[in-house]
Amino acid sequence: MSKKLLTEQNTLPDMCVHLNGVAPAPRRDFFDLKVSLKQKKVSLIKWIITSRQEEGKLRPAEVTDKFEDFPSEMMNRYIPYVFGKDIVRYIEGLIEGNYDWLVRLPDDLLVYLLTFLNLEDIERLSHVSTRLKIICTSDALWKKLFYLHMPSLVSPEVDSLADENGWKSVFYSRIFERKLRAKHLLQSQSSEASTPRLTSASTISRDSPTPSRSVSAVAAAADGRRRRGDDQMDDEDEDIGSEGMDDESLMSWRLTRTPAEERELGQQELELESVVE
Amino acid sequence: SQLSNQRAAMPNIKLQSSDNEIFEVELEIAKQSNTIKTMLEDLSVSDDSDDPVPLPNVNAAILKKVIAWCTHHKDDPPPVEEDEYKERRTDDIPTWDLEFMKVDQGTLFEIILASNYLDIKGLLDVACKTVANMIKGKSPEEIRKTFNIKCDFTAEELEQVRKENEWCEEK
Repeated sequence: MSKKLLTEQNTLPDMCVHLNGVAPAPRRDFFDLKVSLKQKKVSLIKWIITSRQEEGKLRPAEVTDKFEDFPSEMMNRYIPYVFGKDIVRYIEGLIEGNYDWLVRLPDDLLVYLLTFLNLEDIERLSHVSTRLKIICTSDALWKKLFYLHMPSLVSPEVDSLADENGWKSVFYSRIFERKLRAKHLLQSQSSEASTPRLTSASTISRDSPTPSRSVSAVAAAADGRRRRGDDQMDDEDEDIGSEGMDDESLMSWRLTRTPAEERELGQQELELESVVE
Repeated sequence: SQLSNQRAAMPNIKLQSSDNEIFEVELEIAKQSNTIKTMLEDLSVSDDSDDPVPLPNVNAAILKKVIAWCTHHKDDPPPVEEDEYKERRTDDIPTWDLEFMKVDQGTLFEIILASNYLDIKGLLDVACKTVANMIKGKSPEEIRKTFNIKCDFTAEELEQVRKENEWCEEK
């Protein structure tokens, strides 16, 4: 079964959905499916493909359903077979007025909308459809996310790095670096618990892993080991829990400045990464 | 001069929707749209002119909604740029706006398109947050159902996604 998106007119009410597909083997018949919202009809054209010498005898057959008749028997027979069951449901949705507005937004607007999502949601959204996958992995989106959430790290070097490797990869590599930095901070703080401005941090440091365990955590991260579940990491999760972090704040990526918050952020990013990888 | 005094007391502006309906609104309310504001400044539309400002991309039903939002928010402070991080929250929609956004999806997305065209950041953001909240926490299949999106991946691509998910679940 193969299907390919041909052309789509985006502006309502002229919106038109146009798909073509080939019947599953051993058949090779070619199908063309059109939904016109303006004309309120669904049409399906079938070309029989055969190796027998019947040129001229076989003509394309066309079936057209008015919206109120969809799906007729013929449509019900061929559409699930060639295009998949979901397409019948999708067309029924269009007929009921449930247009796929989200995927019809212009690129820049869709990118803007996605900046309101968590990394986790962007990842899931990329599995929804081809267009969403393209947008969710686009440089346009990840550049925007980078500028929004790590403005202090924006630099010509980062720009040229992104030219080579793409913004998504740069985004994650910087998150990884910050995570490491946060680990170092955590480590140094637990040895100087008397600094007055670190009230919350010093409270935590009582429960914090000992410096040596922190070092091993850093080493593990530096190794690029992606698997979580090391004992020391689990301990740290509990520490964060005792600090009263809820799920919401785990997924928010405000760039915070105080060392305590920086440390917290590093932990959040750890979580983020483990979710996304 | 009497006429101009009257105008100074209650400066109004006429807006014309794509389907040729005319709305008269206070100038200050209309100026929340940067597009309209710039239009008035750049084109230096004369105060005496009674000609409506044409908005060919917004129909009457949506323009009505947009004006209602701008009227309610006319005393809002202008959006602050340095608040970017806070802005990315989606759980901070004011109660009035939550009620305002209880509309069908078509209207919601038309508000997004209109507020983008009219350049009304506050309205665009609150509409985008509403859609973001409809996406958050949902599986790809639930997202497809919510927004009637067809899955157009090839069999090979689907298999790839399935493998990736399997790998994620193993962790």
